[in-house]
Amino acid sequence: MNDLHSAGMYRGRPDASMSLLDDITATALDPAYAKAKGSRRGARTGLATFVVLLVPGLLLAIAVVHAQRGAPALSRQHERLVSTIRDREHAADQLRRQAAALRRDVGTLRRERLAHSRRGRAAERDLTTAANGSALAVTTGDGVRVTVDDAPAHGTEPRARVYDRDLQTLVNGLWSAGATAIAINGQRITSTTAIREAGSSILVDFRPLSPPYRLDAVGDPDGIQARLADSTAGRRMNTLANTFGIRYDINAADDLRLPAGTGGTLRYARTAAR
Amino acid sequence: MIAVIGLAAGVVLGLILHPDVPLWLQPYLPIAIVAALDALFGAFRARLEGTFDEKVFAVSFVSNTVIAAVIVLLGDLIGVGSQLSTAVVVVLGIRIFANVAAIRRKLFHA
Repeated sequence: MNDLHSAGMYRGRPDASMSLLDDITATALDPAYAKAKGSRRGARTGLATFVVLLVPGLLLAIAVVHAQRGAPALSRQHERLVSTIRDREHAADQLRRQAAALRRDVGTLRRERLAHSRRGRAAERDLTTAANGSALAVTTGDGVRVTVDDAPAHGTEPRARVYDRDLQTLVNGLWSAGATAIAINGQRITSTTAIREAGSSILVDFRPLSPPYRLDAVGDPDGIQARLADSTAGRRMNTLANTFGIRYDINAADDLRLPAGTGGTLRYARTAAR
Repeated sequence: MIAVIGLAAGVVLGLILHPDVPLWLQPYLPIAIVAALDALFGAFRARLEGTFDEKVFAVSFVSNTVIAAVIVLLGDLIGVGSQLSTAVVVVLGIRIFANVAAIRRKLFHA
């Protein structure tokens, strides 16, 4: 850099202090090469060149070998993480089943206790109505089963897949068509259940589901089918089915049994006045 | 040429010997490689322009590598290790690009 300054290149330039990039590119070739030009030649310099170039070669080889050696360790770590995730998912499922069983036991015990008094029986009735309304109880009945699936050979056509908004629209359509309870692939839809998409899978209540998506809706089978066919949601799904080959089947279904939804967190409690 | 043979011999030697990099040196290996590449491309360009001198190359190679590693080490001590290593890589990358561009001009237009 001193050479360039003394050569008067930057004297008096208004942007002299902003010449960082210029300096970097100008001195990319070490100026010492030009200065040492034409110094010595001969067999001795040949040997010196050979030895001097040996070290960078060694360094490059070491780096490549080191990187290669690290790769299997990384993939082993990755596999370990994947298997840990699977174990934890398994454990979480077991705990969920346990929690459901305990909830059933609690419900049975509660019913037994509340049946002893008039006030208790009234409270039990209120609880049942509330549980049914908030989808926290198992619901059975006749209704409708809607099956939705990606087009069989969707390839790269983006619209030939089922997205979360399709399921959302369909669920809304079923509610307005008169359904009293809805479940997707065994996941009960409550008032706080979200149907979202993460990556390429649809999550209902934060649980990933895989196609085909089976929507069970309890209600009047004929009424629901008729109203759904007339609704915006029904027409939308029909258009998708006809244009992109998405599977969209509606059938009446008997004796549906929708599981209870989760999410009944107890927030407030008060002891009963005696 | 002697230089290319030397480089190739170094690579082969490294692959045969399989030296283990000591643990304390491992974080500085990538930055040392980039600095070495910068010196190598500078040497190649000098060779094409007829000004290659192995003493200059040796000094530039060693000083590049050591200074890059020292800067990263200082950065780790102060706590700005990743930022400083980014800065070093940026500067070395610019120099590599400038040298490669000059090499390209020499090879295909001269």
